[in-house]
Amino acid sequence: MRGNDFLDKMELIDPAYVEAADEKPKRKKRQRTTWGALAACFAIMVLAGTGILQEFWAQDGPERDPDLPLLTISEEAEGMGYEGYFAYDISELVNANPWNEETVIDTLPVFQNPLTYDENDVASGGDEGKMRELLLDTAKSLGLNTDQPEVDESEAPAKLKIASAGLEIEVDQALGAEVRFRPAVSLPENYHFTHYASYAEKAAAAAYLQDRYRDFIGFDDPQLNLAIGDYTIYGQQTYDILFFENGKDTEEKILNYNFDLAAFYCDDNGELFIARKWQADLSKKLGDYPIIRAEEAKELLLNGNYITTVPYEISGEEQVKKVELIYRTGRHEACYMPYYRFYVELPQEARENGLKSYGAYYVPAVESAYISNMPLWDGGFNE
Amino acid sequence: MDDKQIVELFFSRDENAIRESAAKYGARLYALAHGIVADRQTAEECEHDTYLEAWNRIPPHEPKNYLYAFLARITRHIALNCCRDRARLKRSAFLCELSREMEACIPAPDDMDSRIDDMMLREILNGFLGGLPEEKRNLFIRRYWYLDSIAEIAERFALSENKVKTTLFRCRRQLREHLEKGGYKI
Repeated sequence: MRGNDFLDKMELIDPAYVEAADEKPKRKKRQRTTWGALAACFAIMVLAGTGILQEFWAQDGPERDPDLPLLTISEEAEGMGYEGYFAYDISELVNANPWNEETVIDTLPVFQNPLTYDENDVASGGDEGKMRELLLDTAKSLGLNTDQPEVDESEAPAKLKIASAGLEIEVDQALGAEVRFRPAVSLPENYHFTHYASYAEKAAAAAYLQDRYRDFIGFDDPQLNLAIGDYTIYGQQTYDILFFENGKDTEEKILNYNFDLAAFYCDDNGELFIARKWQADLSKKLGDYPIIRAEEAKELLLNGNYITTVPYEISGEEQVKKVELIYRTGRHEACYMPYYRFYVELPQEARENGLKSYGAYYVPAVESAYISNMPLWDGGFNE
Repeated sequence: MDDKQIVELFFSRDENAIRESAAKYGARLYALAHGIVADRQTAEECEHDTYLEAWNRIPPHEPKNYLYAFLARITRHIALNCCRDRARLKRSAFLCELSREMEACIPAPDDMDSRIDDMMLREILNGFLGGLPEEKRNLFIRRYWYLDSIAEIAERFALSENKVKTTLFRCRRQLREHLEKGGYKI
């Protein structure tokens, strides 16, 4: 049974419960703006009007480059559940992130996400010209004749599609291209391209795929990222095969690692089923922002200045097991900005078979003076 | 008119049964459908199709004590199918999100052997819901029966969205454990 079927099965819920849930709750609606908050706002307005606030900020607040716009943290989580990884030890969680704790970096660029989404999750702001170009380039890279392409525009502007014998290609407004192989493609017998293949087996399969789909990957100097080696709750370890373009310096490597990707996925039979490419639209650069060090970010983490989907508070520094710098690139991020991702051990989620759970907590890597809504843990999960 | 009288009208094949059902429950059924399909015209179709389906099902069904829940279940079913069948409604992201959440409750999503019949599932599911505090139960049902958005639930229960998400997350985990204990083996 899949989630879709199970959703249908919810109709088995007792009618009495269904009726009861439709009654108006007894609790009063929350007063979102309290009188205290209003008074505080009023006080700020008065202070701002008299110049006292500006003076205070100039004296005690951090310096800020006036040419760099303030950034807003997007706290909206995508989907449900929390971001966590099972492993017996943190050292098993690996990737090819070009950033490490020795990396010295003073500034990193921040980009505005060109897409916005309405209440039905329909995107707008996409560039149909770039979508078409990506679609045709992808088709051509896989050997399709693109002289007289038959582009399916039935779902435009959300998606553009093209299909031929054995291939379906779909490009969305975020400039992600998905290729579905129909039927799935078998790798030669000596390769093990299965969900739970070992690191070495996946690395061998990746080398084969890199060679066979060189044009699709399309990078001058592709770097393999076998990630992340977490386990299912049944103790099966998994790695995804991703590639990213190398870069001439640390900044370019970091950007390519986060924004210029190709990935290959197997089906349950160990055959190539889906390949994806993503070339984020980074045309709307907001500026180069000063970056804090990982140690400073850890202080902010322990102070509660983080965003997370994990439903547990961090009780002590000893729970923090690993850090890396990444860009959050979710569809609903208002801007693509760097964060420190901390892997925090969650004793509440430890499994009987010895698997530990590491939850992901994000602290903005940009100096807090540039963040308009620095997150602060409010204990909401434990109310 | 009370529910028993309306059901009797259905039994006597009196078309006033539909008129009375619509007068008493039409607005709620429309709201339920609209919450799922997010389209006025389709929601109206769902409501009307509900009466037709009820006409075909009563008799043999005799929902004298739970007429609204009976009609609402039909509306939900029709509205969900509309979302799946009509791409123009653009509800695939909404359904995917809910399906993903539901999948987290299933001990072994792909395992054919672990399938259980509806009778058993009904018992386990309602046993689980019966053990939840009232607010948690209502919150779960608003999300997975009425298919309300997180924002709507937060507003309805005067809770933060984070609180709603966390409560639902814990409910799903508890349901999963309950299913495992109830014979839904991994």
